[in-house]
Amino acid sequence: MPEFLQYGFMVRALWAGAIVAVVAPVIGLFLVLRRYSLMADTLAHVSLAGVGAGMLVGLPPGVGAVLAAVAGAVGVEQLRVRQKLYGEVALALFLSGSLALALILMALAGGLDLDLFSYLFGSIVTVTPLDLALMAGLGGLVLLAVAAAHKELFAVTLDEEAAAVAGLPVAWLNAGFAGLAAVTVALTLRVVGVLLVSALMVIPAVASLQVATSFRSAVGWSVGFALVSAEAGLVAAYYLDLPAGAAIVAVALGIFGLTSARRWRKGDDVPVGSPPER
Amino acid sequence: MRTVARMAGEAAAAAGPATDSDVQPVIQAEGVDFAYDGPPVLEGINLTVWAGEFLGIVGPNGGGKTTLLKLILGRLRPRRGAVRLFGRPVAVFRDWQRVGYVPQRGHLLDARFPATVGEVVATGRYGRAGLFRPLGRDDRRAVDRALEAVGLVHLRGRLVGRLSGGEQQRALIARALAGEPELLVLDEPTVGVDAQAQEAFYGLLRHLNRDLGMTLILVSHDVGVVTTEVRQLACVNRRLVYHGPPAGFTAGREALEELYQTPVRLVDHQH
Repeated sequence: MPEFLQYGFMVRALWAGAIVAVVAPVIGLFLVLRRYSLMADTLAHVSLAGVGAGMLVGLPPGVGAVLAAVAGAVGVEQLRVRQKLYGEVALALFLSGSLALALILMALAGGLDLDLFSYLFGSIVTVTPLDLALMAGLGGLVLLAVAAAHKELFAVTLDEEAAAVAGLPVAWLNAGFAGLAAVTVALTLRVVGVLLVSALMVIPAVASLQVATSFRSAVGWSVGFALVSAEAGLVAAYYLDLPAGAAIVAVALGIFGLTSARRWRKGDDVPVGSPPER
Repeated sequence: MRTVARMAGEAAAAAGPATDSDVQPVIQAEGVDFAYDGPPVLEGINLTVWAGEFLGIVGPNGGGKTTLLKLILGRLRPRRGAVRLFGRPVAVFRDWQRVGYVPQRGHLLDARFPATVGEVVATGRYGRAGLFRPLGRDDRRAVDRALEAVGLVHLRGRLVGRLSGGEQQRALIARALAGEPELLVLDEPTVGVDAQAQEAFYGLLRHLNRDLGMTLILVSHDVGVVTTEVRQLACVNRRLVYHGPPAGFTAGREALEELYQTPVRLVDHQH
């Protein structure tokens, strides 16, 4: 048995990484395809404000993070639907605004110096058994919901207008999806931290687009890439004494580099998100 | 093409005996006005489409063709007047599986969207399959038939981003056909499609309309081609400038061309 498996904290970290690696890229793939990658980043910052508010009123940080992320997701979605602001403006507004709010709330709670760093960069090696059970429960719920609604989410992501004409309840589906994204962000937060959440949700998904031969295979590849990133990143962090979140994201980036290189060598470098050829 | 005939037959059977489309118009717009934030885009539109018609909607850019389509599909609400689909006001219409929609091709896809032709076409069946329910055997057969009808069976595993313009257009039509609609609405479907593919496309529409009795509405800026294909023509330029057989439109072509540029109020209603 490798040395690192003798430590309870490391085993829990590997499990936590695996849970997040299954959930995060699935939601991330939908976000990427809807041109909404920044959503993950924004909700991560909003959940930090939730952590701050939780500290102030004595809620567990995880609970504050989930509640704030869901509220943030609903808020962003409302702004997007009503088109009061451009989508990206709404995201930028929520992102920076909630970071400021988070700093203020944490300072008021007296935990700014102590806790901020661990939330910004993740603290996967301090995951408790209770944390792990919560993550598994919430992650399982997100996966179940996505499994139940996968065809609706796919249709709306592919062509929102056609989905609406086909009679799908697009507004409800979008709101539900935003809620799932929020819960996923709050989960991922624990592993890689606020600043790297979107990396773990988005990078494996983008890498999967380089090799996917169908939507189904894109889901499979993105989960596979995220699992390898999380587990290899944690092990690397253990042996090289690196920050775990950063090591995980570095592995994910490496995978993205490899998939892109493969594509480029095949002389097939249509950039992600380019419009169809006329 | 026999498979398609079966498809339409099943669509009619699924709608129940003596469907209301036998007695009621498929589409009925009465006194419809519409404006975004500004001057009116459409005024006083009265348009009735009966089952089995093949209607072309033409008009200058900005004349309100696409807006009219969105009103018919319930994506926009009229400021005044009413639109009925199969006899029901659009706002409360729920049988959306009876309506197939083919958007402009450019509107659809990123070149890198990781979806196969089969996956895209299957989304057209989701409305009939029901919310949160997996596709059943009948649904998968309908998808197969739709792919057959447009001749894309051999490409069902191909990524949509890898298709030619004409193939993408056929994939979008197959998606609409997978829902076995009674009414098919097509918005500028030939934009960016080469001449040969257009030929095949109009052949397919003729077949759907004449052989299967599907009601078709085709929005296009390409007046020349459309007038030779459709059986009824509506010319929209804020008002319904002309509605009748294409022959009547082309006969008065010179006057109408003039009118095309200047919004003269001449409503010619022939049936």
